[in-house]
Amino acid sequence: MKGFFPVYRKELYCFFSSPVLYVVAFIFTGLAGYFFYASVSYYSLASFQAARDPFVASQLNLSDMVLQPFFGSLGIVLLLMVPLITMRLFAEEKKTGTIELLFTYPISDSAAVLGKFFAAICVVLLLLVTTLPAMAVLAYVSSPPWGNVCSGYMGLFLMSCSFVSLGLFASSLTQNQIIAAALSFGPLLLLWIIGWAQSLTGPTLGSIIGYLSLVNHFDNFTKGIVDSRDALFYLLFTTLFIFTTLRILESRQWRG
Amino acid sequence: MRQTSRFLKRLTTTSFGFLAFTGIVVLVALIGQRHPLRLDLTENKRYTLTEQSKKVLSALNGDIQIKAFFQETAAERDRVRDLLKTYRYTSKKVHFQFIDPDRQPALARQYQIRDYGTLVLEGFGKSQTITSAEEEAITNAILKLSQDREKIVYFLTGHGERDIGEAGKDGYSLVKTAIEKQNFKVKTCNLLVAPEVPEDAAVLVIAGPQKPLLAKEVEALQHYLDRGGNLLLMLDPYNRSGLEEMLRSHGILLTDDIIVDTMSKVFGADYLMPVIAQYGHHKITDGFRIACFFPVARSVRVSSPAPANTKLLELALTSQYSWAESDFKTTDSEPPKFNDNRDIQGPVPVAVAAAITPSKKSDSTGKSTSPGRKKHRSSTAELVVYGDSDFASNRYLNLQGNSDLFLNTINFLAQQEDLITIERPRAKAAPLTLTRSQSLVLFWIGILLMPAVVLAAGVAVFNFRRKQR
Repeated sequence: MKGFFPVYRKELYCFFSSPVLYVVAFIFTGLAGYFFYASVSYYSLASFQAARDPFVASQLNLSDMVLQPFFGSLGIVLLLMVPLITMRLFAEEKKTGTIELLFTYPISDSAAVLGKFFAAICVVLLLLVTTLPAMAVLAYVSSPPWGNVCSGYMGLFLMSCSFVSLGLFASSLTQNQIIAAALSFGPLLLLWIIGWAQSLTGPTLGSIIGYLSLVNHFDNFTKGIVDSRDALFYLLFTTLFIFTTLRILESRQWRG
Repeated sequence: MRQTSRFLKRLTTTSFGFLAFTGIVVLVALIGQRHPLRLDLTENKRYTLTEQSKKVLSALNGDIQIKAFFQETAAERDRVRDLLKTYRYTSKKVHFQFIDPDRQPALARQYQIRDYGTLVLEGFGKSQTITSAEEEAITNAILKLSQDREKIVYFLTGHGERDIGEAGKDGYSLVKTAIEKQNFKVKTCNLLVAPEVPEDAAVLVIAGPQKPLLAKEVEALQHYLDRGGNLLLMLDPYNRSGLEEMLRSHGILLTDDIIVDTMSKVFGADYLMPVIAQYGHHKITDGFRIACFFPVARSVRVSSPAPANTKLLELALTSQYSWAESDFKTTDSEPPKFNDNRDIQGPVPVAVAAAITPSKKSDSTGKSTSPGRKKHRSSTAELVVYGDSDFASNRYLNLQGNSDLFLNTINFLAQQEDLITIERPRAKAAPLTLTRSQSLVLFWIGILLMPAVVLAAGVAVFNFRRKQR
């Protein structure tokens, strides 16, 4: 793992000096803020209307009506934004030719890949941190169920890891950043909605499709359940794509 | 040439490496699926079963298959799926599958599904159908399946009661079959021969006696109730059963009358066939919405105040267009008229459920007569009295909700002693009404703060970099 930190530091520097990050972060925070505001306002309206009916009022809770839709929307926004963050990781270096430089340094391939991966993860984490003030506001107006908040963020983080790994892989395939973004966005969206086909197929294929669905595993986290199967799915997904990226990089030596 | 062979060699090694790694990933995923670990971070542990359910599941020694009949798009489905997943997580012996009765009508027909949202539980060679997909219902159904002790429903004989062997229109042979389908055994008993109600009786049914019971028999019944027995009485009008005094002591009043329902003629029936229009809030009638018909019925009323240790509830009432006629002559061809002075205006109760908690005294006598019996009996005796026995006869059992009402009653009485009551802590309601200032904070910090911070950071970085150049 020689050279992990230099790659990591350099990538972070590139991120923060490029306008892409700020544009992405601006859009992300704007959308996240809007979703938060909308769901809390709607909840407030529903509470107001339910005030007369004690039965309906007893059904109201923040986890179902605010946190679950909020985390669900954040997941979709991340799905749209992460490919834009990861697209340049290898594609830019290939385009400018600095990738040759990277390989001539005494840096192992895995250090290069992991350095880039963790730098992108840091950026995604930063995006998630920008939603924390919203939680503070929620704590100011009500008392949110912190267990659900924790599991929601845990789910977002684990899912982002798999997004980043696929983006990293897509970026290693091409030197065009737009192609890299499209190559990661397409499969991610497919894996997001693949669960819809679950009910149309037989039980065996259905359960495989259901397992591959990114959103099926995310649902539990938004509900407040941390399930080892869901966490393992994201971790395995991430590992598989990091491994594949490594093989792709390695293949340059013999593909000529 | 050499270069090409080297290329192919590397390609194969890389491909094999990739395949091997994918294989490992799949293997780990499969192992992970088999050994799940869950952390329920919700406030009221919504996705964790109660201790009672866990206990029932851990005692399982065979598989339970749950078939949930839900429409693909039903809103309830997700909640039920979460619940069944929680069962599956708690015990690997529980398997479940969802079936859309619209898409698989053959299966729905095979299991005689009448409503969406029905659950069929199968296991130990038996099956149980429940219509409420709540933890309490599911756990109790699993418990029923896993119990190997066969429960026995006794029918009293010796006074011209309905005959469970008779297949004619007044017989109770359909009742017998229906009860057996619920995994109970059906037997008869005669208190003129045996001095006591049998030990192993889960329920004793006295269906339409035509001659009064002897004092000795009534005493035996009282004894049975004292030791926490479950008794179902179905007493027709103008037949003295000899039980009137005993029932009065438990707060249940039987008078000589017959119910006249002018409305039920609308449905094409006689005016002596009252429609049950209302049901009391009881486990027997929980969620029950189908009308029942009680041909030639009498009123069963509760005395107020109820005697100590007894909880009384009017289980089924006729419509407001009916009354209890106390001076009825069958020879009249004209329908009788309502008489203010003597008759009781509807809705008239025709069924009463009583839960009798034994007083200290009778409890101790119960113990002294039968040591060890208390072990498997709840101390509360359940008594249900219907003012009619025709409604469950072969002729009328399959009319509207009659069979459901009857079987619900039998099920309730038979399961009473080991039924589990599960009270889930309700989700803490947290209605939120924003004040003006809170709404402003929500808007400014929620929506505008972070984009502004990001914008400022971006501008600062670019100014800094321009200066550096």
